Amino acid sequence: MSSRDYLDIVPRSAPTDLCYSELQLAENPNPRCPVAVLLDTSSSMLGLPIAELNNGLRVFFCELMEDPVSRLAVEVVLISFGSRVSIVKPFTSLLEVGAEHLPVLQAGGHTPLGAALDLACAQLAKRRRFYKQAGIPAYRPWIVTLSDGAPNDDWQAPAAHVRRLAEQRHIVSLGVGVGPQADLATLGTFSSTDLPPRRLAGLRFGEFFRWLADSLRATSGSGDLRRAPIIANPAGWTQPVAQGSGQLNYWNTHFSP
Amino acid sequence: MLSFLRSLFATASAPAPAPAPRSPVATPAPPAPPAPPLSRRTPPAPPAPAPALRVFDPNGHPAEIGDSIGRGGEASIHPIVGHDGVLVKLYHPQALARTERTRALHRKLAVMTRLTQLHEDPRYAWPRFEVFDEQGRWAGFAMSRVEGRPLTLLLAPALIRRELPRWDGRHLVAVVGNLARHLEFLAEQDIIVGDINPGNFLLDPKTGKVGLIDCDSFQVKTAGGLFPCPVVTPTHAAPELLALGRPDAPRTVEMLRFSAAILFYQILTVGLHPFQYKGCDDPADNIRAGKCAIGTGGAYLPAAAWERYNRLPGYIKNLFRRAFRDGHAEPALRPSLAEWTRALTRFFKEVSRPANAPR
Repeated sequence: MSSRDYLDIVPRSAPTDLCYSELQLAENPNPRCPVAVLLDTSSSMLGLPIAELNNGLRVFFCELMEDPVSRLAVEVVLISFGSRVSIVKPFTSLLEVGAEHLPVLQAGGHTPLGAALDLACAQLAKRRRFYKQAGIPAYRPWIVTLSDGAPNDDWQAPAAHVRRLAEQRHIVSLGVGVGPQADLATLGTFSSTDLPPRRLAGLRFGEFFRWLADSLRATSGSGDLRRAPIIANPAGWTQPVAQGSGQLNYWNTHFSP
Repeated sequence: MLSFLRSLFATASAPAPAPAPRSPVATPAPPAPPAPPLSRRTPPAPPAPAPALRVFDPNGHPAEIGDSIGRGGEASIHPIVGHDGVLVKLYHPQALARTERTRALHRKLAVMTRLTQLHEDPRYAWPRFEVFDEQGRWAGFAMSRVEGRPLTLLLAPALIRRELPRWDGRHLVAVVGNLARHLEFLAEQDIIVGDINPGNFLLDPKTGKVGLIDCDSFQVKTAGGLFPCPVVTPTHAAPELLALGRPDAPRTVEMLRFSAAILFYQILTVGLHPFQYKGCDDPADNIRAGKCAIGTGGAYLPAAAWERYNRLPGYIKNLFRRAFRDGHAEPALRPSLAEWTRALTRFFKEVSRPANAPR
């Protein structure tokens, strides 16, 4: 090989003769950080809340795509739970054409949180198998749940399963309560123990998703696939914990070691 | 009293700041009013505009900071209103609460800010002076602003093709050559870039020039002592550094040679990692075990990826073999940055040769 052969080292287009997993590796060899975002779209979210949530999702993808670290690493599946549980946006690489395309979420129905958690676990397991097959390393997956009310399906067993995965450090699980009816206690049953659920201040979905993108970027840029997630400063979107609640405020103490 | 900002970055219209006392007794801003209860009909009132945030230089002169342009787990980076060439790195209160680490950073910044010959060097976002908050507490430091796009753009064909469509092999070799020269220049002054993380470098899309940010993480050695690098990126760390198990372990130039070679490999192969191949969950584990993709004949990679490594000339591949295989257990065998610089200069000449020139 002469040095001249190196001139066109950058492939002008993606190879067409590879299967999907080989293609993903050839086009982007970097480790991935898979994230399942679970979105409560029950009827109580009708009106301004669902509109702000849709805006917030746009901010999320915009922020993720704008920074090359997160664009190379983060892969998101969006799961809504309301009148039914659906994958509103499947796992895609943020490098693919149309990665930024987002569906508009509609509100309606109840809160089948249990089914949503089951689907999230199944999706993350499936993505993990794909990474293994392709030979792509991965950071610990995240499950992020936004809910404005109490669940009304069989949620205890799925929640316990997620809790076990979080305790064994197989996933990071984070819950956010939206509005005054949000049930933080339920969210707490399946959150990572050092990340207790927090209440969103008002409808600051944009701030929340910006914070989530920051945290994912910092974590996936660390080059440390085993480490605890890096949590950015959440002051921009969380409601302050009530004074004198006696509860240790993990958000103010949890930090990158 | 001297205003650091005004003296370094004279702007025609800067108003004369009132010299603020070093520890002003300023009342903290009142907390924002609680958000009104959610209702479907009335939109929540927009949050009250936050009061302008100010930081103060070591002589108490204030400057207003703009919205953050980067936010990480420990700190955020902000521009200074009215001073384009300066950025401030402000640490979150939680990070400052880690007193031992904050003190170590102080000690290092005291030394770094005195290395004035590096202040004006456009290649480095060098710390220039420390900054303080309204209560006179240490908040972070000001640094030169280095322009450029993140080096991470080079680490995947899908990304470089989209973001830098005119780049070809010459640009990649130029970038690696520049990197090697910068690292060598600093190492000669006993400044070791202890955390080789692709996110710590910027590049100029037109010239391939490289800038280094996160300079506060460098390891600095002076007559006054060794000021450590507090952070490690395991996927880019030398095996002996991983074995020590402490992110702030003293760095040797041999460790730098290993880590730098990983970054050079990634750039020259458009994203491949020398210690990553199928069957491995974590490149850092392979580094510890010495399981390098070189020598496997690309058995675990699709041909389209492996052939990117094979396009490298023999004398470059030889340097990688010495860095990662021979030099794995014997750090003295790793090529020095000077050897890299020489080889990359040759490589650049060869790859830039016009098509009809004699070989």
